[in-house]
Amino acid sequence: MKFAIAVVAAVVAEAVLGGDVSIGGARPQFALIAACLPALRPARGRDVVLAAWLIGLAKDLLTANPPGLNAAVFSAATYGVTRVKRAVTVDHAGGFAAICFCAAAALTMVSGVVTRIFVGPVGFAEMLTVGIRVGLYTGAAGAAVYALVRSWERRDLRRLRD
Amino acid sequence: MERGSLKRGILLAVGSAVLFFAPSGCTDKIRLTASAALNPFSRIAFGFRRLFTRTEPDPKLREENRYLQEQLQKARMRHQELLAKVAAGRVLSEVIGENDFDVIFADVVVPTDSTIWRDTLTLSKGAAHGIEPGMLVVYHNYLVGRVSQVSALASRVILSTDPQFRIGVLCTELGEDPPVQRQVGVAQGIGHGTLLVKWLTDETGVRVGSVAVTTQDPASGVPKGIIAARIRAVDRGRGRYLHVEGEPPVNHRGLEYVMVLAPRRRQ
Repeated sequence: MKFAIAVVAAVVAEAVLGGDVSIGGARPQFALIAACLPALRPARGRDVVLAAWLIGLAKDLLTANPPGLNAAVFSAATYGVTRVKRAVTVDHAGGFAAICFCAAAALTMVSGVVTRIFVGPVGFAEMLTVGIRVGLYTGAAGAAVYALVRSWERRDLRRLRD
Repeated sequence: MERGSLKRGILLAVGSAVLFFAPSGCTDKIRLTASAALNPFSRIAFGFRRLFTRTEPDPKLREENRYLQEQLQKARMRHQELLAKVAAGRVLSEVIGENDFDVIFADVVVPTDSTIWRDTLTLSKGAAHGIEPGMLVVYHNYLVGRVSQVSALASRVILSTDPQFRIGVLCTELGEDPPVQRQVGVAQGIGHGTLLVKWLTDETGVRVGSVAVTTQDPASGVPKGIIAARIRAVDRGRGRYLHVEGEPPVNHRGLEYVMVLAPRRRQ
């Protein structure tokens, strides 16, 4: 339930407030952060890849581009996280920031290519620079969200111990 | 376990591909109807945003207001002169068909597109309220965009800065008579809050601060005189045509409601 509320909040915040917090045209991808974060420590019996696919689908509702792209990239990113964390420890703010950077930059560039194919003029250099900017912004936001969530977890643990 | 997760991954990839390549006629209505469910959440978010929005009067707007009042005086004098012409024009308009519109007020549900490359917004009204694809969307006398997809209870508008948006415009100065050299250009969105006005030559006299206004296009339901863009850069370059860059006259992100122009059908 908490997770569902967080997802709706992330999608709505990105859609309604995303433009207000944009820097140089780059908006943080809150929905992507909400999809990737549970993949670091998935709860037992929860399919994080399917959850990420559904979050991507929710984001696909709000674009004029063909649907399915966000769903595919979100689930691929989450699947990537589940694979990478077997080999490398990524369960820290820096690791999560790197994951968010890669996923957001890839999503921005892929959606740029789709927009170029289906709609009109988007330059490749622009795709690259905007992709990196969105990646950096989302990475920074991801690290902040990670730190926030972990501090809540620590506080809950402390309460349990007391 | 491995094989299971791989199979699931393939299923999700196939699902995404099916959605991607499915005819937009099938998916758009479902997507728009589902996005209308976000309306109550976005109302909360709008309320939250309003807490942080300043409402101090803009000095630029005050100056513009003074200028407009002067123009109003001029316009009153001209009004008398035109009244006589209107009587004659009315007879003509019955022959050529005048553009009459019903105005449909609609709330903005989602002010941005989830893809950074597109500039769209979602409205709280759709086909059930008389909105159809292709209708022009304005805010007072300013162009916002055009309705692109419609479901029963919601509709998606491509903004004037979206790469898919194109409209015929004339460049002129605010408050001046129409330009002697009438040259119709095409305003095209290029994303990131910018429009290009194409196919204008130096003879039009377009300069920074001019405005691009729509030309009448009854077939597409476009009335004339709607302000589509303010010109912010003109590059004369070497070619025959100027590189004219404009910005929308209204901040699309700040819109909470818009007006959809529905051409009135004649019997």
